[in-house]
Amino acid sequence: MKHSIARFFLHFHPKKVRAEAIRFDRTFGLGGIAALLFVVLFITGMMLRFAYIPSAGEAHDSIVNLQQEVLFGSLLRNLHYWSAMSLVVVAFLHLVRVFYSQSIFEERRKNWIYGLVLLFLVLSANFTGYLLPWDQLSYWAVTIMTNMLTYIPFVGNGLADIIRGGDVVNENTLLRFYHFHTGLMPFLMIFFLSVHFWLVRKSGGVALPAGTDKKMTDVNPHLVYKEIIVALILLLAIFLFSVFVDAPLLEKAKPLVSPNPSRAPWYFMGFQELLMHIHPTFGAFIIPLLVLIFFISIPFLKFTEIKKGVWFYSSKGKQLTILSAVSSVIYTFAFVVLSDTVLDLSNRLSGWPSIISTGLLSSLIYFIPVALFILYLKRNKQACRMEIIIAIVTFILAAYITMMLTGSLLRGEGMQLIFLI
Amino acid sequence: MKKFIVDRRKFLRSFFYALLSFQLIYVFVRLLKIKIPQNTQSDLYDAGDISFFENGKMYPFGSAHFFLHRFEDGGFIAVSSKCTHLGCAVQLKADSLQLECPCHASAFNSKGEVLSPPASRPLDYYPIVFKDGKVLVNIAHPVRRNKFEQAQIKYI
Ligand code: HEM
Ligand code: FES
Repeated sequence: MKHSIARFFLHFHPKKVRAEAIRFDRTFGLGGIAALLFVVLFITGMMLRFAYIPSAGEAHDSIVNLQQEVLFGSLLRNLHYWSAMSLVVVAFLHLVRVFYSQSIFEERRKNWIYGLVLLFLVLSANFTGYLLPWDQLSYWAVTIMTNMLTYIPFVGNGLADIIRGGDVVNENTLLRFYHFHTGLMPFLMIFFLSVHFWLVRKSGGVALPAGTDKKMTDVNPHLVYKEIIVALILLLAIFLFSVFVDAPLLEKAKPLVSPNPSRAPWYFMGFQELLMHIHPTFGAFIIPLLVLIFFISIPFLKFTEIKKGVWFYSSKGKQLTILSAVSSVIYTFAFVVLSDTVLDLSNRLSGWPSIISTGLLSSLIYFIPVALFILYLKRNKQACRMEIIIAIVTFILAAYITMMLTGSLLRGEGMQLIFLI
Repeated sequence: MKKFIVDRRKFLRSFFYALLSFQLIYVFVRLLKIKIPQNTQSDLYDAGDISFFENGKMYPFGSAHFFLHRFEDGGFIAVSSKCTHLGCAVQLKADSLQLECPCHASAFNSKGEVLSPPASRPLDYYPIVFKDGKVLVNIAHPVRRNKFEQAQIKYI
């Protein structure tokens, strides 16, 4: 048997695929890019393990040592760091792609669920890795994030304590995160990735609109060629970026001195921003839970017609997507600024129970206009159910991104909006 | 619509899988719950002689995560330095009895009550006992509270 390894890899694909399925603009290669990033992370992560010491006393020193004493140590760390950050972005874009190209219905709905599990795993892997350098940034980011969990009613405190292994972030937390990050998470990801890939093939590959050309073509070389080009460009880009831009490393964690301001990791900043305006019972529990249930249930809803593989479902769907995205960004940003300045419910209604004032009231102030907007799309634009779903998802995603960017970029000392000081 | 039929075999099988999963989850959670002994001193932190603490003053015990306040009438309270908003370490504002959180600007008074949001709950406090003329603070058992009460102050 010659070339067994090459043959093995070719078995990820069928022998022939429909020529239409491998056009780059069907998927933008996002799933494949995510898989490649995972491989890069796995290899660089394995190597980092040889340099890293998981203890509060030595973790930070071991990374400084890696960067200063080891040949290409910095590069290794940068590759791991930037690949990890890219993976969060790419996994998110991949979700956006499958949703808007209507590739999540019927035989593909199982894979939508597995995809959501994978997104959760990517975020958890990233978050547990975030603590490992044990510097001021990572220590306080994990403190902030685990304390956001404590606001979940009834189980929140217990959950946060189990994750941290105590009531503050300490040595136990570091060890625990290390094992999650380098043991359990990679293992679970490999398992779920395998199921994910298998389900893609089982449902007949990339979703194509009815009536596209049925012509078949050889995977090797047509698809393989494209994959190799994308992979090489990606590797080159990450490599160059890692040569020139260092992963951040602040001074060693000081559990007694919190920096001002302290932020969660950037991909969780949307939640932190939300918590600044809406009572935690709503912001950290009810709203995320409802959004999650909504996302899970989308492919299980009843629709009169499903158009697999058709971007945005219809031209009206596309129009509503743009309209919702723009409205969501403007409206959410306006809400953030107003809530900080004019409304200021927590001070103004300080006599009320906060679950009513910043909880129920704030939520209603935000969501009633949104509901009216959706109603308007339904009445005046005659949007069908699928188009409404597309509009709501767009609204949610755009709102999260707006809050994430506001919290990360537009807030300075004491988490004040920088343009208001 | 397809009828959803659960026969005995299906039921038993799902029941068995569910049982097995819960078993595994339970074992894993118990595993995460083990307390790795930190540094096996007693839970009681010796803050020093009672007579050392002046009335109306606040004393920081950074490494033990609390501030000890002695009221004008001689009572003691030990408030936690862990901000109730998102867990940062509050700091004593210079020349005052006010605690401030550097992260998102919450402020607390010496009893631990909230002076300004985003925090919405007073700081936790630690039980105090007096023994052989010393103030001992039970740092293993922070007490959550929704408001300050007179009973939280300890008198000799
Ligand atoms: C699968 C997705 C993965 C993600 C999203 C991820 C993410 C991260 C992140 C964000 C960091 C912090 C990096 C830094 O600040 O330098 C990190 C560090 C680390 N990762 Fe991963 N990682 C992944 C996979 C792995 C794997 C598979 C291993 C090993 C088996 C690994 C081992 C490590 C080690 C030892 C560190 C600490 C060194 C350091 O902080 O530079 N990682 N990871
Ligand atoms: S953690 Fe103290 S104000 Fe946010």
